[in-house]
Amino acid sequence: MTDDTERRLRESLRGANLPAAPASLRDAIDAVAASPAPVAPRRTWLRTLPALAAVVVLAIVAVAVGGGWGGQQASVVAPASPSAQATAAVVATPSPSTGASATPTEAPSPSASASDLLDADALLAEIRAVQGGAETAHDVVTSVGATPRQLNTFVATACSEGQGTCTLIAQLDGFDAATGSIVIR
Amino acid sequence: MRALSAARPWSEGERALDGDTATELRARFLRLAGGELDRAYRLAGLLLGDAHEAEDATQEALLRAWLALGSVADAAAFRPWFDRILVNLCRDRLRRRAKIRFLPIEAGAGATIADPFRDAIARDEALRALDALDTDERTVLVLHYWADLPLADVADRTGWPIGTVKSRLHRALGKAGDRLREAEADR
Repeated sequence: MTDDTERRLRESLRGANLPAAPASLRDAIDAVAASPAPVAPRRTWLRTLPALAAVVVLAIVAVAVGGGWGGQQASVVAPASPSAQATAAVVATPSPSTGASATPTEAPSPSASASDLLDADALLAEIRAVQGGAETAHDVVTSVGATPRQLNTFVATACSEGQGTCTLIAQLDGFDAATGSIVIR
Repeated sequence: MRALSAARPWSEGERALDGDTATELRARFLRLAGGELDRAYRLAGLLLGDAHEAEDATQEALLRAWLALGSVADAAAFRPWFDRILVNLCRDRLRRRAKIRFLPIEAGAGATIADPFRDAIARDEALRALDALDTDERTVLVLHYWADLPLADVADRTGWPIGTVKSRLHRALGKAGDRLREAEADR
């Protein structure tokens, strides 16, 4: 019986004498097309930018917490720039145990306190003294008695102001120019 | 002029259309929408059963299509995309109609305004059975038997899962069959 209903409906629907679109509808097409042109879609990458930024942030956090890809016994001193503070602030704590380890600590505040300030002249002198030597960025920091927090503030300030110190630090072994941090081994 | 299906009507990432692109876009819209107009109007008429409402729904679909033409990749994609817009609008109207009943204004005492869709449906017993169906059942019958769309395409046009399309078609056929049998029994 369903087959019969199906057949009858199909025949009736296809055989129905239905009218063509009225002239008013044809005029409507012209009127619609005469209206302001539609706006093309935004760039797709602009739409995915927030998601991309989130992925980058997560990757930075993962690297900072995990101590890098190689599982080496290294820690990352996070940069002190305000934007970086929002994402990752992991300060190194070298561990005698095997495998990567890092201890999260507080991030430097955007406005550096007195304890954050580093003797820039002393650091600069030390950097210049080790130019061409085997010292690493960590060695330099240690030699001037800087804490990672102080270093963060110093590096961020120097780099944001385009100081030559920033360039010098960037040339030191153990300084990660991509993340603006010093890897302490 | 380039082949219709060769490219998008604008370059990737372009926000506002320059004069030439807008002109080309208008020409494409006129050709694509113009080619679909009769079919779209008839589809709307069968779904709504009313010429005036069919005209309104088709006009609204045209406007929406024009404003969102950027989401159509090529000419081949236009019909399914335009169908979806139109079917959704018609279903919205049918749902609204279930709440608010619009009555045609009589031209004079005893006179009725001729409506080609109502007349076509009233003349045919099988088509009258459409009136026994709800919005979704009517939609699936018209798309499958009149527009001759496979069930997968009906699912695409309506946004329903294929299983839902099948169950609604089955139910619609059952109801329509009951209506036809009742009509035969009354004769």
